[in-house]
Amino acid sequence: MKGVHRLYPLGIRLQLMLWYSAICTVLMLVAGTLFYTRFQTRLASSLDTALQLQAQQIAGDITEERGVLTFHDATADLPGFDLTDRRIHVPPADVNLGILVRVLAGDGTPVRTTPAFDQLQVPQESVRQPLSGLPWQGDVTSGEGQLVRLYSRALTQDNQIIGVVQVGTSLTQMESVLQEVVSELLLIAPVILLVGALVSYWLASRAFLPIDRLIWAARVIKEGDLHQRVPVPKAQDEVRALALTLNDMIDSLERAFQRQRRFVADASHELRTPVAVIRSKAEMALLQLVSPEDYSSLLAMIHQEAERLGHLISDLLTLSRADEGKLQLEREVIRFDHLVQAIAATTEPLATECQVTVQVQADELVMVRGDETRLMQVVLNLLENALLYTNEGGQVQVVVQAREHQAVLIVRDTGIGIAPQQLPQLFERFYRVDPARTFRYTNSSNSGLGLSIVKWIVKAHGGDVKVESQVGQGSTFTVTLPLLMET
Amino acid sequence: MRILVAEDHPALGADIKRVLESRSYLVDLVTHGEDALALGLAMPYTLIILDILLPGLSGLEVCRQLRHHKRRMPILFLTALGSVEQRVAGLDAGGDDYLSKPFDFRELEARVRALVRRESSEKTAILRFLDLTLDTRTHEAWRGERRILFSSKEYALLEYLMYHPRQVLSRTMIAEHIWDDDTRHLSNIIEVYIRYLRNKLCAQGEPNLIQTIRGSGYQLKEPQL
Repeated sequence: MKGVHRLYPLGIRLQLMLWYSAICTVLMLVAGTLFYTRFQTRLASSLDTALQLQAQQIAGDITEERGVLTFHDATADLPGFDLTDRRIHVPPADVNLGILVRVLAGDGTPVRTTPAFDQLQVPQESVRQPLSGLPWQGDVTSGEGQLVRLYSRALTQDNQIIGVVQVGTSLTQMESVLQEVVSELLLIAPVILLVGALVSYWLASRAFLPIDRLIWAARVIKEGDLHQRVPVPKAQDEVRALALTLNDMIDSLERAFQRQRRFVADASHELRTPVAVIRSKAEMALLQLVSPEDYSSLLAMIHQEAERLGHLISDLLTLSRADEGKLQLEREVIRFDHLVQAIAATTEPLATECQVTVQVQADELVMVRGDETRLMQVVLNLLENALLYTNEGGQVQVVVQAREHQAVLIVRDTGIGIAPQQLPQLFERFYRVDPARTFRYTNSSNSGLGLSIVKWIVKAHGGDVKVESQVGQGSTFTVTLPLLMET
Repeated sequence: MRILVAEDHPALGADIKRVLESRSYLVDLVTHGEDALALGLAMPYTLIILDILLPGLSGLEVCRQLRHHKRRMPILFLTALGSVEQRVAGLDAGGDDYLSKPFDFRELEARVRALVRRESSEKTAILRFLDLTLDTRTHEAWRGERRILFSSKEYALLEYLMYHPRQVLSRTMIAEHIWDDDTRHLSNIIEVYIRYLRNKLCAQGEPNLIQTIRGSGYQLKEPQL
C-alpha cells in the first residue's frame, strides 16, 4: 500500500469539501440533463402541434371539384403559394422566413408549393405514407443545411384521399433557444458549485468545532495530571462517544501509570534490601574486624543475597519481556505427567529441608502443547511456594489428571493458608501474603513475582490458574491447560 | 549454542534470528555496533555474526576490539559489498569467515555449523560419542541403531554436551548456552532435562553417558565400570 500513498494527503475539511462538490456536480449534471431533455421535448411537441394545426387549417381550405383541387381564402396570404406550373422561379432570399407549404394531388404531383419548399430535400416516404392514410412527420435538411421539421397529411373529402398537404417549419429557432439555455446553465453552474464548495467548507469547519474543543481539552491533559478528563458534551452524537472513549483511555492510562509507579517503587524496594545486605557484609569484611574463619560465612551470605538479587532481576526481566510481547513460546508436544514427576523429583532436597512430605499422583497420560521450560517454571514456582508456606511435618500433594478437554494440575498444601481478602491480589506483582516476610524467608529465593509469572505463562498457554484457601488449613492451586488429544 | 547476531536491517536481522532459533540455537539480536561489542565482551558466545555496515561502530571495529580483548569465538561477517578489499579487511580484522549478501539461509546455516565445529574437536556435521550419533544438520540422533526423538531443548543440551566431550560443563555454562538468561530455577530445570536425556539415551538399558559431577556440573563421559 506504500506506493499508493498520496504525496500530500488532504485535510478532512478539504476532503469533505471536495466530496460535497463532486456530489453537487453530479447532481447538477443530472438535473441539467433532465431539464434540458424535458425542455427540448416540450419545445418539439409544441412545434409539432403548431405544424399539425397549420396543416389542418390548410387542408380545411382545400376542396376537390372534378379532380381539381380548389383553394379558398385561408391560403391566400401565403406569399408565393401559387400553382406550381404558373410560378416564376425566384429563389427565396431566406429559407428561415420562407413559409414551407406544399400541396400535392392524389397522384403525388405537386399542385402548389411555396418557393422555400423547393429548397428542401423531401423524401418520397413523406408523400407515399400520407397517401396510404397515415400522416408522416420527420426532419429534412434544406439546401443550406438547416434542419426543417416536416409534417405531411392526407387531404380528405368524403373519406376519400384527394391529395397531400405538407407543412414545414425551420428548427433553427428552437435550436438557438436550446443553445442559449445550455450556455446559461454552463455559466451558472460554476458559480453555484463555488458557492456550494465554500458553504460546505464552512459547514465542515463548524462540524469539527466540538472536536477542536476536545483536542484543546486533551492537549491540556499531560502526563502529570492524568486525573483530569475531557468535557463530555450533552448531545448524543459521535463527539460525545469520542469524548467518552478518550476518557476511558485516559482512565486506563492513569491506572497503568499507577501500576507502573507502584511496580517501580516495589521493585526498587525489593532490590534495595539484598543490596544493603551485600554492602554491609562486604564493609564488615573490608574493615577486617572479623576473624578469618568468619570471612567464609560473610561471603556465603553475600553469595546468597547476590543469588536472590539475580533471581529477582531474572523474574523482572521475564515479566517485562512478557509485557512487551517479546517472549516467544515454543509449541511442543509435552508429556505433562512426566514433566510434573521430574520437577517434583528435583524439589526433594528442598522438601527434606522443609520437613514436608510431597506426594505426587501423576499416573495418567496427560499431553499438552506448549513451552516445556516455561511449564516447568509453573510447576516449580507452585511447588516451591507450597513447600515454603507449609509448616514442618506438613504435606504437599501434587496431582495431574485429564478432565474432559483440560489438563489439570493441582498443588495442595496443608500450609498456613491465605486470608480471603488477600486472594484477589495474590497474582499481582510483588504481592506477599506475609508483608513481614518472616516465614522461611531466609532460605527462600521468593521474589514475590513467582505467582505473577505462573499466571502469565498459564494464560499464554490458553489456560487458567485458580486458588482456594483457608487460613490455617492450607491452599489449593489449580492450573488448567488445554488438553492435547491423542490423534 | 548461543549466537550473537549484529544486523541493522530490521527484516534480515529478524529472519536470521528466526532461522537460527528454528535450529535450536539461542540467538541475541542487536542492531548497533556498540551493543554488539558490549554483549560480545560480556557473554561467552559460541559464534558472532557481524554485519560490516553497522550504525555506531562498524562490524570491523567491533571485531578488532573483541580480538584485542582476547575474545576467541568465531566471527562470521555479513557484507553487502562483496568486494575483495572488504572481505580481506574483514578476515584481517580477525574474522573467521564471510558471507556476501544476499545469501541463501541454508548456506548461512552450514557456515554456522562449520564455524561451531571448528571450535570443537569434531570436524564433520555428524557428531559421535561412543555409540551415540548426532546429525547437526537434521537434528536426528541415534544410540547404536536406535533412533531417538528429542524436544528442542533436549536436543540443544545434548548437542552442547557432544561438542564438548569429557569436559565438565557447569550449570551456569549450560544455562548461558541453552536458555535465555531470564529463566529462573535453572538448576532444577537443567536437572530435569539431564534426567530426560538419560531416560531417552538409556531407554533400552544402555550404559549412562552423562555423568553428574557433584557441585560442578555435568560431563559427557565413557561409562564407569
